[in-house]
Amino acid sequence: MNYITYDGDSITDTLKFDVINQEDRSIVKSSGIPVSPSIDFIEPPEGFGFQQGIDVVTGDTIDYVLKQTVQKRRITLTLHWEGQDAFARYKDFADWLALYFDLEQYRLRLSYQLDSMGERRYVEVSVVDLSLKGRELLDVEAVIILQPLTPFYEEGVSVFTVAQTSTGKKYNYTYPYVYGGGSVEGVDYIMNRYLKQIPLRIVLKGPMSNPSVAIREDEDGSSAYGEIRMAEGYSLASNETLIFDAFNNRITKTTTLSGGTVVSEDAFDDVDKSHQSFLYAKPGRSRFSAPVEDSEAYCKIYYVRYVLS
Amino acid sequence: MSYLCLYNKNFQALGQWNQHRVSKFSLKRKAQELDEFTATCQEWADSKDACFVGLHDDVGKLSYLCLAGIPSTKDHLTDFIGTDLRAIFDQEVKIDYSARTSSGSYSINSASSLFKYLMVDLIDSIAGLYIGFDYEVNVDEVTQGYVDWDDSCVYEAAFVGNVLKEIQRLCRFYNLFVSVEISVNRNTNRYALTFRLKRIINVRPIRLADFQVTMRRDANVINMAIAMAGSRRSVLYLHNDDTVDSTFSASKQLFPVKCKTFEVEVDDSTTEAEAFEKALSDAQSALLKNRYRDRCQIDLRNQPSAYTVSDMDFTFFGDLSGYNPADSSTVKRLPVSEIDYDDNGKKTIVFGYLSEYWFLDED
Repeated sequence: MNYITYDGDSITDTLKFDVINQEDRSIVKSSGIPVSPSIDFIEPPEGFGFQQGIDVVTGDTIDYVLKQTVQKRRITLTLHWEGQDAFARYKDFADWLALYFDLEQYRLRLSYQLDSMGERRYVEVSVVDLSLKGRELLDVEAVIILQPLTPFYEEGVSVFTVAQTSTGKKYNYTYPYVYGGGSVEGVDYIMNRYLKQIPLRIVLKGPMSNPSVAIREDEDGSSAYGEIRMAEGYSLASNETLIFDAFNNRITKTTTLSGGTVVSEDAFDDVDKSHQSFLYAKPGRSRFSAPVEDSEAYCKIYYVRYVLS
Repeated sequence: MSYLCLYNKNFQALGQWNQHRVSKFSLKRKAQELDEFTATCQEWADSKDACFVGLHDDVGKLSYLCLAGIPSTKDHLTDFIGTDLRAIFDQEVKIDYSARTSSGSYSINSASSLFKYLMVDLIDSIAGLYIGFDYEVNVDEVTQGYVDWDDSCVYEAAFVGNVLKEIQRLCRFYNLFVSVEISVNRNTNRYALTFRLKRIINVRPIRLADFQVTMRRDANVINMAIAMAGSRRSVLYLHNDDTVDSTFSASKQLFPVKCKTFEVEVDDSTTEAEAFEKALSDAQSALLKNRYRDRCQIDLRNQPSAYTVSDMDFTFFGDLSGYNPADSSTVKRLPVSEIDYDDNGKKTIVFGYLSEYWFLDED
């Protein structure tokens, strides 16, 4: 006899916390494993999906949309720990949150996956409320409210431009930066499928004279809609990098000393003030270019593939 | 998202990690009065030597620059109340328009030489004020041929006066405004300041019925002035089309009539002609000050027709139809006087020179 199975797909089993290092967007790890708190069970979340804000002028027949915005909704999770030591494990969870509480340094990230083959979706959050509800038999319950700091996204992607020494020809390739599932596209472009412009984190590694990076729409004859240049005469040595980080609004020059020590300094004042300081990619496909001439030099652009929910 | 950056007097960015995210800001740019700028940003640890504060947009472009003042910090947030750069002309000095060249002719014989005297010579060399930072003044737009010289706007006797108020008075006389322009010096990669005199020369028709409009008018102002000295006497009129002259026109009369007399005594040091010229100038100034005493404020948020005015700047007059609901055949011409915006995307444009604080104005 065949039975109808009512077990459908579920996201609660796939809910997961991890932490991003805000400085370089890498996943924080301990002993090589991404840090994550211990939770026995999470009830179906509230606040997933998206909310759209539209400013509308009402007409007699049709309404006119003036502005369209995607609003972030707070996410509420009910967490459970079971066992004689459930309170102690709740305390471990709270301590874990406190460890990565500094938003200047870390970003707490919540993710879920619709099925084992599907893309994992991430959202960076800040904890705005954690309340302990108490014990019922072996179960200890707490409710956590999270304020999203980003839209949901599927992956972070890095795009490289490097030069081949013999021909001077540039090779560009794309690969998923932090997580699996990204496509290798082999071209020097950025694909922004989100409604709005997205921030870019650009790393230029020397040696490079007059470092610059420009971004333009992927159409013949289009001119750059964004360009960063350093001041006239500025150059990067082979042990130096410049980072233009639109996620953090910082421009950093790093120098790797002979012993391996990395020294960072603010390079904002050296940016050519007649150009931009940070770049954002418009919706759609954009190409970028940088004066990468040396085999050691590269231009790396990190961005995030945002989705609606 | 915007950020603030502090600069010293040489436009060197101050501090380490000197881009501070703005939590809120409000900017009221004004053509004739001084701009008002307030902003709150992430805590600023070291604002020593701060001279300028720059508001940058999300890609880093400088969108506004003013004098930083002394920021205050509380609860890890720093507040700025900026001062318009044109405030450097807010100086009480001795003003003398009667200087002559070696050939005996007046040194000030054009609008450009007049403004150059006030904005460069007077501040820099004559009064010897040390402003503390470099700037340039550009009067190219007001040279002869573009702005016709009218010597009735100045008088011969020297006096102690406020340079900024004189600039404002003369800007209204010639329909000009002082624009602050920030460029980049390619050699030093530092910002450079230019005060540029610009003419209000563009006109755009606007149908007020298309917008959410807040109107305020101040009819209770001096619109007739009598200049007297010795046996001389002249009457000047402010008309309803905001022109000033000595010819009465019944069709242009403003109601209620409000008159003020300007009399200058003739004494041993002042001839009757000089005294009358001073009285006439004072009378004219009083009437010029009251031109465009309207405040027509349009909120551009949620306005489908906003695109028709959103590009207007201080070089524009608006020909406002529907200004007088009872008269659909005429338009009221008012200059753009104020453009406001904030971090919430609010944007308003104001026509007419009636101040937001008009009730505090001295007559």
